[in-house]
Amino acid sequence: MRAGTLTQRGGPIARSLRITGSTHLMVATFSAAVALNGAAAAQALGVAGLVVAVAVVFASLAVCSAAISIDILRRSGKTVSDLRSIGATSSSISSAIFGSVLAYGALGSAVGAVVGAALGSVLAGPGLALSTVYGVVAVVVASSAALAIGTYTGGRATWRS
Amino acid sequence: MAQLAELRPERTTTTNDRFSVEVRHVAKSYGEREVYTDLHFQLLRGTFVALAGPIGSGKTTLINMFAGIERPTSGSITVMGKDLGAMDDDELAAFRAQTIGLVPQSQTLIPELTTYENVELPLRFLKVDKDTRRKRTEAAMEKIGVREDAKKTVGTMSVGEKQMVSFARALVNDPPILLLDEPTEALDPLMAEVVLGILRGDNMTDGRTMFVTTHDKRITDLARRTLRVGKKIP
Repeated sequence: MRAGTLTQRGGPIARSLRITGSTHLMVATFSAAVALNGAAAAQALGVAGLVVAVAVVFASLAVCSAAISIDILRRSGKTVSDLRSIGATSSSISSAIFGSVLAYGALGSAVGAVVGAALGSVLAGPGLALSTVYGVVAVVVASSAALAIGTYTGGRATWRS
Repeated sequence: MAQLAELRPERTTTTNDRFSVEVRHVAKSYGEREVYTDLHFQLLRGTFVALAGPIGSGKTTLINMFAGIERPTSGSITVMGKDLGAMDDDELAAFRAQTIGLVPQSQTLIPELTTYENVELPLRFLKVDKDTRRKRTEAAMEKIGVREDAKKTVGTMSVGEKQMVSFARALVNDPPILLLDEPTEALDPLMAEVVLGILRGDNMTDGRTMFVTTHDKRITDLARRTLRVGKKIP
């Protein structure tokens, strides 16, 4: 992902599928919100909280990214047919969606996790804080994995149907 | 039900290097509606064949079957030695990217993209490197005369201009087979002359197989052979 604004234009295949700067912004802000809550809860509630928070983050973002993937493919049905008529395979189309969702989702979750961990430390107090670094890393890894799995699963389900 | 009036008799049942397209006992129907019942012919490599017939007689269906976009109900179609029926949808898409240049009747350009981006797309699917993509895209636009429109968004262009961009896109991967569905229908006389000149020159110099559906007598005059579809499908 190039440095710059979240609303920058994607590549031609992504833009063909009407994945716009607004799509990037939506994915990033949703991921940030989920990660922020997860990281804050993990800081405040200790190891058990971290496990629960990571599970919630994973489930939320997996469902969200699957839904986005399905929505993009279904509302771009004619475009997908047009692209396939000139040689686009399902993987070349899915890659454009995958790249956008994963890149902007991971960026959003990283920002959200850092802010959430800081907020959790303030709320819980330094004595109760779990290792901030571990908490942030766990949330970001869970977010990225969820975004990747959700996007892939959503795309695969749509291609099959 | 449509039938081709002029068909080349089958010479062999095995893949032959002389043919770019072999159609064997192909039937195509949409539910109860039969388009073809037993279509059987071959196209020699490097030949220029026109397909004429009334609107709704199945010409576009045939083009789409050659491109692997539609599948026959029964029978087989072999293109450049590959049996299209043996390939799944992704394999067909990859095969199209390498083998077929398609200028469909309905617009399949991406309106949000520029002329350059639309023409370049097939090369992206072929994973061609950036420099080669640029050279080939510019060459294809130059050949068709749309280079000046490189940065123009396709959604803002006229139907005729879009058709020319579609033509450039079909040529960008230098395909051995070019399928054109009513290529001059939406063009003004000047643009049509450009296309006719390219069809004439391209087939002669590049040895490309060209299969063109048309009502345009200038194209049927240019073609080495003209097949005719009998009548409109009820």
